[in-house]
Amino acid sequence: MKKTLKVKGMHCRSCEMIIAEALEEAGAGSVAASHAKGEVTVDFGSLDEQRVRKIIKEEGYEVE
Amino acid sequence: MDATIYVPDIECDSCVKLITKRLESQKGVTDFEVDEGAVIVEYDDAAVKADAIVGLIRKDGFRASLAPFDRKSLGERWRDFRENKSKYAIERDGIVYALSAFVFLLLVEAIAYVGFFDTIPGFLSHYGWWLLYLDITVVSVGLGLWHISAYRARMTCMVGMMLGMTVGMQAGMMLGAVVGATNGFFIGSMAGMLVGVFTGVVAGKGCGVMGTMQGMMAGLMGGTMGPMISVMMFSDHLLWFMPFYMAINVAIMAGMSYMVYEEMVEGKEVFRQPLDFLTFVSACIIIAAVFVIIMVYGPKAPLFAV
Repeated sequence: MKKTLKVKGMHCRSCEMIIAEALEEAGAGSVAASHAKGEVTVDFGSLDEQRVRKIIKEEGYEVE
Repeated sequence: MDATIYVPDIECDSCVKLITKRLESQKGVTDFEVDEGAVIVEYDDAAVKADAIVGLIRKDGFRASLAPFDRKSLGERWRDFRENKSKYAIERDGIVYALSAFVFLLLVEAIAYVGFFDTIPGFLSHYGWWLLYLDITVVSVGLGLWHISAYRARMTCMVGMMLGMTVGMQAGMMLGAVVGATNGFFIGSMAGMLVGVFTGVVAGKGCGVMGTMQGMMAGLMGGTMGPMISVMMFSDHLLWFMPFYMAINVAIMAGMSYMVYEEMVEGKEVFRQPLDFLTFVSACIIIAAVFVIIMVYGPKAPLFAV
C-alpha cells in the first residue's frame, strides 16, 4: 500500500535521505521524500502506517 | 592518520547526521568530527584511504575535497541566491529599491515634461534618450554605492582598489557620456570627472589611501573618456552605440555587487546597516534632478545648442 504523508521539518536533501533510509531499513518498499513539497510518499512494504509515522517522528520530523 | 575533508554544503543538522551515519559505518574510520564546512577524520591508513572517505561523502551529493573550496561558482551562487532568501535580504532589497527608483525617476520626469519642459521646442528628440540613460546611470551607480555602504566590513586593499576603480570609472564613463552628449566636451568632462572622482573616493576609501587614489584616478579617466566617446561619435551612430555601451556599464556594476558579496560578505563577520528605501529613492531623484537642470539649462558647446 502506498500513501503520501505531509511531513514538517525537512529542509534539505539530507533530510530526505535520512527519512528514506530509516524507512527502507525498517522494511518499507520504495520511499520518495521531497523537502520542497514537505511530503513523503511511502510504499509500506512490511510496515503499517502507525509504524511509518513512528519512524519518521523518531528521526525528528513532524507528521501531520 | 588524520585528514581534513572540506564539505562546504553542510547546511543543517540533517547533513551532519547523514555524514555521521556514513562515517560510523565505514571500516577504518576510528574517530571523526563533523563541523560546519569540514569533517576532520582519524583513520587507519591500512584499512581505508582518505580518497575513499572523500568519495563516500560525495556519494550523498555533497561536494567534498581534501583541498579547501574557497568560493562558489556562478551557478552555485545563483542557486543559493534563489534558495536562501534571508541570506541575501540586502541584495533582494537593493534590486527592488533600484527598480522602484528607476520607475519613480521616469514618473517624475514625465510629470516635469508635461508640466514644464514641453514648452521647449524639440525637447524630446534632443533630450529623450539622454534622460533615460541618465536615469540608468543614477540608479545603477547609486545601487552600487548603496550596496557597498550597506555593509560595515573589513576590506582588503585589493577589494578597496577594485571598488574605487569600478565605481569611479563607471560613474565617470556613464555620466560623462550622457552630459557630454547634451552639453559638449567641457561640461561633460567636468561633470563626469567630478562625480567620478567623488564616487570613486567614497567607494574606495574603506581600505585607505590605496583605494582613495585608485578611485580618484579612475574617476578622472572615466569622467573624461565618457564625454570623449559622445563627442567624437556624435555624428556617427552614437544613438546606436549607446544601448550596448550602457548595457556593458550596467553589467560591470552588477559584477561589482557580485564581487562585494563574494569578497566582503560571504563567510566574513559583517555589520549590516543599509540605507532605507525613502533615503535611497529621494537621493536618486535629487541627484538626477540636478543633472537634468545642468543638461537642459547648463552651458553648452556651440554645436550642442538646442
